[in-house]
Amino acid sequence: MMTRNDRFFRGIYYATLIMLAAPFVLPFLWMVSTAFKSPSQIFADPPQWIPNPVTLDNFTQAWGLLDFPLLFRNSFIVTGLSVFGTLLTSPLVGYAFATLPGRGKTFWFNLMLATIMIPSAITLIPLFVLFSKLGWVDTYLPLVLPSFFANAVYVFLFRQFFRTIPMDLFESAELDGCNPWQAYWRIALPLARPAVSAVAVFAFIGAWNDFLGPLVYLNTADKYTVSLGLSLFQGVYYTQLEYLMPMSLAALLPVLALFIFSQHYFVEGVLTTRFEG
Amino acid sequence: MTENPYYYTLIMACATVGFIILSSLLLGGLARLIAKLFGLTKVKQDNTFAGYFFAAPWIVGFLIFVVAPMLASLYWSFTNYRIPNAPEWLWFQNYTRLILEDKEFRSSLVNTLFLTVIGLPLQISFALFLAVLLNQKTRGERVFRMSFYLPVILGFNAAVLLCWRLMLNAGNGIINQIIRALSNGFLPFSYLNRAIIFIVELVNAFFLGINNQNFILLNKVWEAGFPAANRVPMWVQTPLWSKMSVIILMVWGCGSMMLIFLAGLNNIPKELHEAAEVDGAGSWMRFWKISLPLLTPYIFYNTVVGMIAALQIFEPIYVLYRDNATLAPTAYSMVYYLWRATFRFNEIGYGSAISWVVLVLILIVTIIQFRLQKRWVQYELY
Repeated sequence: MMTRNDRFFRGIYYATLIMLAAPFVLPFLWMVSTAFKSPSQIFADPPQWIPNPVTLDNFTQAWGLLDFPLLFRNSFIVTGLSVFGTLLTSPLVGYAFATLPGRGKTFWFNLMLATIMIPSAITLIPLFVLFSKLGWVDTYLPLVLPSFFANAVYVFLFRQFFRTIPMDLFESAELDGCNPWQAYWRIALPLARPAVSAVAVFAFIGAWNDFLGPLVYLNTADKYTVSLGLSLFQGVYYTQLEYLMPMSLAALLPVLALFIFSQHYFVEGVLTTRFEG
Repeated sequence: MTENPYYYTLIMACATVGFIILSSLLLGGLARLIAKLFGLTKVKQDNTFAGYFFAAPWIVGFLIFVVAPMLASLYWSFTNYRIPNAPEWLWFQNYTRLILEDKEFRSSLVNTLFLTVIGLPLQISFALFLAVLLNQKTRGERVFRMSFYLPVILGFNAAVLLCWRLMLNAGNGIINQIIRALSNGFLPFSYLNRAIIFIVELVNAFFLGINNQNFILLNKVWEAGFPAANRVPMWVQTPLWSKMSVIILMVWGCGSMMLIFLAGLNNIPKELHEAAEVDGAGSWMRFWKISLPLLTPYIFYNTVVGMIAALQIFEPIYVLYRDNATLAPTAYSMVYYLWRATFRFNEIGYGSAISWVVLVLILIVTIIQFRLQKRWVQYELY
């Protein structure tokens, strides 16, 4: 039975939570509201929460201004290949760091953790020079290929996950005649499905939202990804908010859907990771 | 065939996979050879081969995407490289200019330290507060957890950050409208609001004073005294508030820290709390004596990672102040300054020098933190 006192505290608890959660979702609500406003309402004083009248003109007009099907297709290709590359190698390296004995493993692992500290700004310029010498500027290669070489953060996540699996399992598999590759492919990887899903979601969101990469490497408009294409609405002096907001909303939808359907996976993925070492 | 960008990308991706397999075999073979030279057993040789074969994708990537660029940037930082001119060796001129002469860099350094010293503790304590609040295991926990985590996933999007800019508008932005409504309706809130404004403006005036090397503004704020009843924060409007707007965005993105604290709270054995409850400890007491000490490894992790991120902060400043020439210098971070030097002024040599200063700074701060951890991080309870 809940006493009156309990109910009182429960009320306060939920009121606090709602008050704290409001600022976190406020910008997204504001974005939704702006998407359906006519240009004159966007800067109305005082600001209006509910658009009046609700208009879909922004969507139809913005859709006509840029080739959105192409932008979305480009984004899906780049994102899909990045996710594929990440999943091809990151679990493998994580497995190596977690299970295989051998000298130097700790050294390489600590080195990998140290690389997370390096500001991306330091490597950005030399990499740009490298890729332009290779003639890869204005192709998707600089955006896609680095993900095939295992991302340190994801490797760390996989390594932590594989360490929770009892070592006996792999040892007995090897006694039964599995080579290390089979032990990885047949036993470890299927067990790591939650971690794989979590990393897939992280990699998808990272690649989909990436703005700086496409900005630096893509030049021709028909190769743009969605996140870069939207910046065309953002001039130096004036931003066409009435087009930017609705289409940004549309661009966020795949990520939002993925987040809602899979949040269980990657929340668990983070929650089960132990940080002590 | 290669005309279609998709096919070209696919073909090159396949080639990359081939390259990775080849280099993995080479690296594994090399490791086996070395193991053989050291006279290890056959089984150990095979294990070494497998280990290096599996880890090779990262090691190769590390050499191509980290070591080589860093060496290039280290070399450039000693030159006056500036596209399209060829680099010329300068010895330490970039560094002396950076540390001794460049006032703008100095203020970007002070700004970054401000964001780290003031923003990070706020971020961490807010994340911890939210985690403790969410850990009560009540209905709806999942929805709230999701809304606190949402900014981490969708937040660093130009449109969302632009929404913040509209909302933070000092005159008719939605945030100040809410603050005004609350102050008018509820007197204690009005005093709280004005007290916070007073403190924020004093602290900011002090830091701006360090940058300008005079404290006239601080005096002015002090003489103006306690803010009047109708005052609201001047978010993206004045130098006194430009950095606070960035801090608001930092705190807004505290969801990943919160998730890590939740993991920490999950890992605390239930028996500890039950035993303490039997002994008559209240929930406040249990938080201080059990939860907080056991969370110190997680606080440590968040501090290290958060400080590395704060010292490299870029996006919020870029979106909020990119086109605001008068206010931008009061909110520049080091990485923003670096971006400006390289991509606006093409000074690659100078930019590389900045990036090495940032790296060394991060390294020093991180080493100090690992040294200090023995004093306060508890891996076991008593």
